[in-house]
This record gives sequence, C-alpha cells and structure tokens, in this order.
Amino acid sequence: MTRDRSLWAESVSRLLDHSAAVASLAILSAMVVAAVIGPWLSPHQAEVLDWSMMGAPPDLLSGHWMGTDRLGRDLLVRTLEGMRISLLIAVAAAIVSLVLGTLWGAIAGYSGGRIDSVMMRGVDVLFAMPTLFFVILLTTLFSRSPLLLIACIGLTGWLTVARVVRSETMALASREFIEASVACGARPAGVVFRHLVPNLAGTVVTYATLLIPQMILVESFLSFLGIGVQEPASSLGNLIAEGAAELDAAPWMLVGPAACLVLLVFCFNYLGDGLRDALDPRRRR
Amino acid sequence: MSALLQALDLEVSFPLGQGWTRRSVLRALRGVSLSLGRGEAVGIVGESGCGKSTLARVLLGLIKPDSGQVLLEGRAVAHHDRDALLELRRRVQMVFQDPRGSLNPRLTILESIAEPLRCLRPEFSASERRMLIMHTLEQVGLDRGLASRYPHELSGGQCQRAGIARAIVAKPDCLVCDEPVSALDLSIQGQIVNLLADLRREIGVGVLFISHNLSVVRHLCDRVLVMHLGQVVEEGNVVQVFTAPRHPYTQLLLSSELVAEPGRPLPALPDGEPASPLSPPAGCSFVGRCPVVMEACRHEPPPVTRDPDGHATRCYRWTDSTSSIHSPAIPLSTDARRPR
Amino acid sequence: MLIYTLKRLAEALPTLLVVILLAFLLTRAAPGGPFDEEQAMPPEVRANLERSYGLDAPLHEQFLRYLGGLLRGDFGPSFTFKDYSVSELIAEGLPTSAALGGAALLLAVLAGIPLGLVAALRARGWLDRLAMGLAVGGIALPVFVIGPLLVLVFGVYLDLVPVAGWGEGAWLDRILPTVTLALPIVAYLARLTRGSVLEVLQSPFVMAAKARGVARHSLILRHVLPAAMVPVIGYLGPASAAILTGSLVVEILFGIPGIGRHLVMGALNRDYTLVMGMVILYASSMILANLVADLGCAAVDPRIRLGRRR
Repeated sequence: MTRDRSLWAESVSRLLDHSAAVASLAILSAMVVAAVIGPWLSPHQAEVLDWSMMGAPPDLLSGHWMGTDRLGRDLLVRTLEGMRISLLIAVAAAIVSLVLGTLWGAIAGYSGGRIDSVMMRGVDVLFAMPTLFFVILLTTLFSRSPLLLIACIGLTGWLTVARVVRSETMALASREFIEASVACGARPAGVVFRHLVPNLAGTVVTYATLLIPQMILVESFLSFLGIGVQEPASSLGNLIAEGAAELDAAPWMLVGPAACLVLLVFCFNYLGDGLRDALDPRRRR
Repeated sequence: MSALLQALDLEVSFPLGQGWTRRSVLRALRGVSLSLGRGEAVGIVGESGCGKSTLARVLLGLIKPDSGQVLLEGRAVAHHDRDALLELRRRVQMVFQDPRGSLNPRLTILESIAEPLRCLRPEFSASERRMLIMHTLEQVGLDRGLASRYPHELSGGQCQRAGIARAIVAKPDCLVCDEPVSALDLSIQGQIVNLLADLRREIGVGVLFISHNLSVVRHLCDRVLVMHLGQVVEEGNVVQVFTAPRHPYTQLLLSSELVAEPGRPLPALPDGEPASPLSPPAGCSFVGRCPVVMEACRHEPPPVTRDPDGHATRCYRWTDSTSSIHSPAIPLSTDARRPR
Repeated sequence: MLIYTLKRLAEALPTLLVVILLAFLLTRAAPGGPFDEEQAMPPEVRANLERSYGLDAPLHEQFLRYLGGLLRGDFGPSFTFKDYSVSELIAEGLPTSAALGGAALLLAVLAGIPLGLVAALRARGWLDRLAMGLAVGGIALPVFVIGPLLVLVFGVYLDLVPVAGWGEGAWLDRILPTVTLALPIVAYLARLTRGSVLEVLQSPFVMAAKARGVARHSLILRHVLPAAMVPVIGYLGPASAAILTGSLVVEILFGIPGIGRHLVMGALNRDYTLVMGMVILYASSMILANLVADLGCAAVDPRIRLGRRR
C-alpha cells in the first residue's frame, strides 16, 4: 500500500523538499568521505616533508593541489586529516552532550515536582557559568588527551539539550496518548520506550545536527589557542592558527582550512534547520 | 449484588505554583461518591473545571486520590498495587477527549489498538490479537484498511472510533468516556454517540459519560450526576433530573442550554462570578450565583437530601421545603458536611 | 525595581561563589603539584616551598585564605612569571583588554542595532538583503577565521592598516582588532533587532497607534523601538560573553598585551594560579554583564521585574 506513510517517511520526503538541506547533506557526505579515505588515496602523506617544495603555493602540476606549508607538508592531506580529527572530536563531544542532556532533561521532565526543580536549578546555575573558561582551566590542569578534550567540549553543550528535552518531555507527558497508554495497562518502561522516546527522537536528531557545528567551533577555538588538539596531530583549528601566523608569506595555508571549517559549519547548520522543519510539522509554513 | 464500579468519598487536590513554596491548592474533588451498575449508562455533567475529568482519571487509577476509595465489584482498589490496577483496567477502559491527541502519532492504528491487548490480555497470540482487532474495527465502523494508517491520516471522527476500538478491544465491562465528542464536529458527534449507544446494546458495556452537552447525556444515559466545584450537587435518573431539576445550579444549566428555535429569546441568566476551586466558599459552593440564596447557605455546606427513588440534592431549599414529605437527609459523604 | 535588583544580585553572588569554589577544587584535584616540572628536589625543600605557598593547610582553610585574598584583590603569586603576582599581571593587562572589549561592544551596538532597524523598516529591500547576508556570514564565521581573513585583505593585500600590534594609542592600529571582535556581534545584533522590530511592527498596539494617526517617526521612536529593544538588551549579556572569549583570539592574533594573552600563555605553561585567577576574573565579568543586561531588560519591560516573564 503506497498510501501508508509513517511520520518518519513523511519527514524524509519533507527533508528532500528542502533544497538547501539536501545540498548541505550532499556536501557533508562528500567532505566526510574525503576526510576518511582522501589521505589514503593521496600520493602524499601528512608527516612527510617535501624538501623541494617548502611553502609552495597551490599548483595542480606539482601534485600539491592546496600547496604546502613551511616544512613542505602537503596541505590538502593535512587539511583532510585535520577535518577528520575535528569531525571525530565534534561528533564524540556532541554524543556526550546529547546523552547527558537527554537523560537529564527526560528524567527531570518526566519526574516533575521537586526532582525536576532541583535538577533544573542545577542547570540554571551551570548556565550562568562561563563553561569555556572552565574548559581552559581543565586543559591547563590535566593532560591534554583527546578524551579530556571530548569530555570538556561535550560539557559545554549539554545544558541546552537538557532544557530542550525537558520541555519537550513535559509537553509529551501531558499529551493524552501517554495517559491513554497508562490506562491501557502499559508499564512505565513501556511508556517511556514505546511512546516517549520515539517522539523525542526527532528533537534529539535535530539537536545533534545543530550541536556538531557548535562543537567544531569550540574545538577549533581551543586548538587555535594551542590548548586543544596537540601536535603532531592537528585539527582545523591548529591549521588555521598556523595559516594565520604565515599570513603574509603563504596565505593559502589559511584559506584552505578556513574554507573547510566554514563550509562544515554552514552545511551542518542548514541541515539542522532543514531537519527541524522536516521533523516538526508544526513549523512548516 | 454490589455495583460494578463505585467511588466512595473521593478527595483530590492539586498543589499549584512553582518552586519550593507551594501554598495554594486546587481542590478538584470534594467528597465525590458514585456507583455504576453492570450495563448502566451514567452521565456526569457540569461546567469546565468542576472536576469531571479528574473523577474519570481517579476511576481509572491514573490519579491517586488523597482520600476515599474506588471499588471494583465491592472490593477496594489499592492504587499502589500494580496487579490491582491491571485488574481495574481490564474491567474499566477509557475514551479520551482529544481523539487525535490520545493516539501516539508514531504508531499505526493497529499498533495503538493492540496495546491494551498486549498489556492486559497477554494470553492472546499475535494472530489472535490481529483477528480481535479486525473484528473490533468492524464493530466501531472503521474500514479494516485503516489499520495500517497513522493518526494524522485519519479524520477526527475516525480517530475517535479508533480510540473507542482501543477501549473495547480488551472486552472491558465499562467505558469511562471523558467528553468524547466535544472536540468533534457537530455532525460527527451524533455518529459517535450512536456508536456508544449501539455498543451498549450489543456488547452490554456500561458507560460513564462525562460531558457538558446536556442533550447528549439525555439521549444516552439512564442516570445523571450534576457536578459543581468538585461536588455532586444533584443525582437522579435522567427523566427526574431533566424534567424536574431541584438544585438551582441544575436549573441554571438546563435553562442556559441554547435551543435552535427561531423567535425564542435567549435565556436570562443570573450575574455573579462562578466560585473559584482555589478557595471554595465556606458554605454552599453555588452561593455566588444562586438566585434563591439564603443566610444558612453562606456558612455551612448544605446536606444531601435523598428521595427513596434515588433523586438526591445538595441544597438547603430542598431540605426545607421537602423535609416534611421526604425521608431525612442522607449525606452522600460525611466529610462534605464538615465546615471548612 | 529595587526588589528585582536585589533578587538578581542574590542569584548572581552564589553563582560567583560556586565558580570560585569549582575553580579552586579543580586546581587542587589536578594530578601533580605545580612544582612537578622542576627537577627532583629534596623533600624538605618541597615542603618549604609548599609551606610558603600555603599548600600544607587543610583544604577549607586554603579556600578561605584564597577567598580572603580575592576580596583584597590578591590572586596569589604566578608560578611561571616568578617575579610577578597574578594581580600585577592583571593590573598590567586589564586596561588594554578593557579598552579593546569596550570599544568592540560599543561598535557592535552602534552598528548592529541601526543596521537591523533599517533592514526591518525597508524589509526585502537591497539594504535588508545586504545586511542579512552579512549577518548570516558573521554568525557562521568565528572570530579566529574572520580575523586572519580581515588581516589578509586589509593588512596584506590592501595594506591599509597594520597587521598586528596595539600601538601607543594610535587609532589606526586599533581598527582591525576592534572590528574583528565586534563583527560577529554586529551580525547577531542586526539579525535580532530586525526580527524583533518586524514582530513589534505587526503587534496590535502598533496597529492601534497607526490607526490613531501617530506620525511615522514618533511611531518608530516612541512605540516600536522601546518594545523591540527588550530582546536586544537581553542579548547584551551573551554578547559580552562572546566578546570576552573572542578577545582571547584577537589578543593572540594581533599580539595585543592584554589579560587574554596572559590567560592563554598561562594555560600553555600550566600556570595554575594565573589561569585560575584569570578564569575567576573572566567569570565574574560575565556574570556581571548578564546581571546588567537583565536589569536593563527589567528597566525597559515592567513585566519582567514583576516576575511575569523571564
């Protein structure tokens, strides 16, 4: 039967109508694929110095399509690897934010009453705190491992998720179908997993997409300052910092990584907006 | 034999306000008692905010009463005992007000109707379940093809039929219907009410019908309870209450019903603010708008006078004028007579 | 209004205290002491060092002593700049950073709000499109991308302004850092103002004023702007936060000798006391900015101070 269309199927078709979101999705997929397999396909390697090509501008013939840096490392490969690291950290941090925020918000929203007010009061207090500066403090105090970085960056994002999920949970919990399910004899776990979670999923997916660019920006910010990803690994933030330092001599060192970063952030934001419109029929115009 | 479903002296209040200081309390039910026999249809009428919906939810065990009891065939239901609640819900099911909102938008109609079977009648296999659901869909007048559809693809009336199917699929003895037609178009309302009347005749299910639509109640029910500000103010069979209303509030309700008749003037209604459930008056809850208010009404809540035929009224006027003819007042609840 | 002010103050002070306590506890929980970088030293020397920094006292005593020091403006000694105390480093850098941040905030307000207002009044005109295009770009481009790009275009290619430095008050030196820091805020403020003004323009009370025949300029100035400014003023809190974090990037990028550079250098050198002092300083500025923005909102919108809306 072709006319059976679940809300998910409808959402997908609505997303496909959103041309900016589709284009973003295509660009993002291409960038992710390039970041994952690109360095492997390239004749150059990120750590190998090309002594004949130090600080060379972009040139198709030499094989260094985006030029080389001061040490003769191929910038295309370095940018792709930087993108991979930035994406990895951002996605991992977004997952940390989402899991923490969703659990916190859902528990607070579904419990209500005093538990809710205590939990959300905590979020309010943390919201007033300058999380980014705490991240700087943490990276000062502890070893700068990628795991700490992920945890720190993830901590900057979960508060908003918790608030959104809580209000969504409260709105859902007051809908009659939740009550109807209880009246049908469903157990609390059944209510949560059969009714609450599937209806929250749209919000959470949308937020994940909007969180990733935020996480990319925070990671790049820290790496730009030198307290994020540590050498020899480098993320887009490190590359931009290097490029900014060599601005007058080798501007291509800045332009490539910066363009990648901006493109990533733009595409994730457009995709997130598209998802939000697609998953929430009320927002459709 | 005891009634199928009974409520004794239910008290429910909700704390209001945010944060740590929850001072004010909304008293939704103030000593409500009722009983529903097998296959009986009882209507509950009253203005919005009088506690009708709260009463429905307490009867299903969705809200725990502060005091009072729900009795199933004479046995009190323990609200903290999961098995007791399951038994209650196997016997009593609910039809909700918002047809679309009471169906999970991400489940098909089939999946929604299957839920009570899975939870309440685990003895059925998947194929038996499917057969039962298909049969039930026919009973409520829904095309079998709609089973695989989602709520947003159905009309409001179809959604409400699906909601009724979900309520009767596990073969309960009684349906609690919370304003089941008020969210529907006028033309659809009649169909749903007729469906409920048919179901009552065909499968003998009892109906507790909550509504503010008096004519629907008159059409469907045997007995009616009139609620005002969390109390039952009048109770009796439909003919008694609708032809000879005793409580001034019932009289007001009946006279404010608009009748489509050209040339008929709009009913003249008394002024005055309805009392707030946040701070119910010390005496009778209706003093603010009562046209025949007396001094006694302002201080002590009136007692309930019950005729031998079951017509009961909570009003001083009625005690005064009939005490010589009728039996002495039997309170519906002792608690309600205590001055607050 | 007084009650509201006191209430907000009563909320802000505990937050600040929590910030200080958290920063303090984190520092103490960190693995290894600040002297681990040095060569192995005899235990008695280490004990002496720890005593002189007060590290041998019980934790709550250390905290109270630190808190007392903060109240007197004493952030303790810096571990890497051996001859300086943290307070001296702050005193040295703060005027520069404050001048940079203040100028950027002022520029953002003076450019962003009028831009948004004009865009809203000429909705869908070319100016509107231009402004909104800029705004979208300004929101997606972080300071650490805009900064180098501006330097590349205006400093390197066009050679209009110096590429780095803060100068001895030479305003030419200060243009690029200030613009870089202000640009994202300009973009956000413009978008926010535009949206807010458009919404107010559609509201019934403005319609009613129009119907009464109120002249256009007084309609905009007396009716529309005050109502439209509430969310904009509210955003000034987060805007200040953005300026504080952005200033770290700008100070590093342009080599400006402010406290942001001290913070980053301190973080790179693992200078616990310096970073802790700076974090507390930045955190309190942020909390203060939020407080001021909230009070500003309450001054404009009586509903807020009466607690009907937050």
